[in-house]
Amino acid sequence: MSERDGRRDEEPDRLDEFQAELARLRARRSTSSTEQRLLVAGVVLMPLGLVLVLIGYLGASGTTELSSQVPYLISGGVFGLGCTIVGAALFLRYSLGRYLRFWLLRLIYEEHTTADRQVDALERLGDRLAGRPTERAAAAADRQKETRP
Amino acid sequence: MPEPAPPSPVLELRALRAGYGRIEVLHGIDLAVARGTLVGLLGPNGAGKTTALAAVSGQVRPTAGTIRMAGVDVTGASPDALARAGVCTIPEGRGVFPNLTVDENLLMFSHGGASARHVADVAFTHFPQLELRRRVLAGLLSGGEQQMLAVCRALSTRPAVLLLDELSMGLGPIVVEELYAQVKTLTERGVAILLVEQFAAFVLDVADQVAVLVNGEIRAAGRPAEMAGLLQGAYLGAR
Repeated sequence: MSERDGRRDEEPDRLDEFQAELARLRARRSTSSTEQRLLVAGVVLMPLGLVLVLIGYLGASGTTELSSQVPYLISGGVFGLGCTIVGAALFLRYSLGRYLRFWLLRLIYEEHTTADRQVDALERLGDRLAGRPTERAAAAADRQKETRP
Repeated sequence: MPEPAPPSPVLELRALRAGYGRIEVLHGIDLAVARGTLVGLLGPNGAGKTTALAAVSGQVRPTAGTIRMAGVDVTGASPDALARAGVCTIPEGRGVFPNLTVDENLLMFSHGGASARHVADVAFTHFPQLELRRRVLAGLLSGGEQQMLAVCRALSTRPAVLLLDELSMGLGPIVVEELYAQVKTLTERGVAILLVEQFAAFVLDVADQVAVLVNGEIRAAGRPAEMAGLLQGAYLGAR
């Protein structure tokens, strides 16, 4: 048996091993929408925090007992404020990221357009230096021919 | 006599879409690499070839479509898990540790279970010039030698799937031919190879199948002999 045949005999083992390894993987589905979800979470957390602060204020103002006011202060004030800050941070992070990405895309697009224009101009210049009629000149000549009686 | 059924693909991409954030680069590509075959993914600069490879190796999460390996859906699997399972990626621009010596790099390649001695034996058998420079820092090797060292990782670690990105980048044609000849020997061991390359001439000689990627879409696919005539048009933007 040749070396190559021997290798072929070994192949199914490697493929079986590979298949077994892959089957063990916990292949997670795409999380491209994670960004979108975090942005929405930010939008929800900001007003939710403010509502909690308001509830805390209403609860604390309804009683003069300090021991009753403390829970309102903690759940309404601290937790509510925390929600608002976290929500604002998430919103800023992901909305700003989106804006900067579009801005970058716009720059790339403009760079491509400028490069195309420069190539076009260089080609026309090259044609003129070589004494060939440029596309524009050829089109003008064609038009002239058509209108000539 | 009826033709034998084509072997089931070890790597299969179906309607794969991927990109960076909201910018989609791959617009639903289909590709299959069977066991023991080398498929070349060709295309002009910016076509999405590296993104396709990054999606297959788990570095970029697909937004839609599936990636199947040996019949198992691995869409969204992490790159380290895929590497442990047997997917070897050789990235563009030399996949070596520049501040480690050749010997130390080879030692790093033995993490997957192969003995360091076996890795060194395989490396020096395929590329004898590396043995002469075994105590030299990888970053001080020539571009070709660095790429040889990177290819040693695939040669010595029994991968099931090999992903190669722009092996020819910055190298002379003789070195590139030598590297591709060594890579081709892996198909005899049943490795499924997906090769990304901008310079089509190198790939047409060694590939079993070729696919042309333009603007994130597969424009044409087939045997290298059939594709040679179509490439020029695809690269220059003809539809």
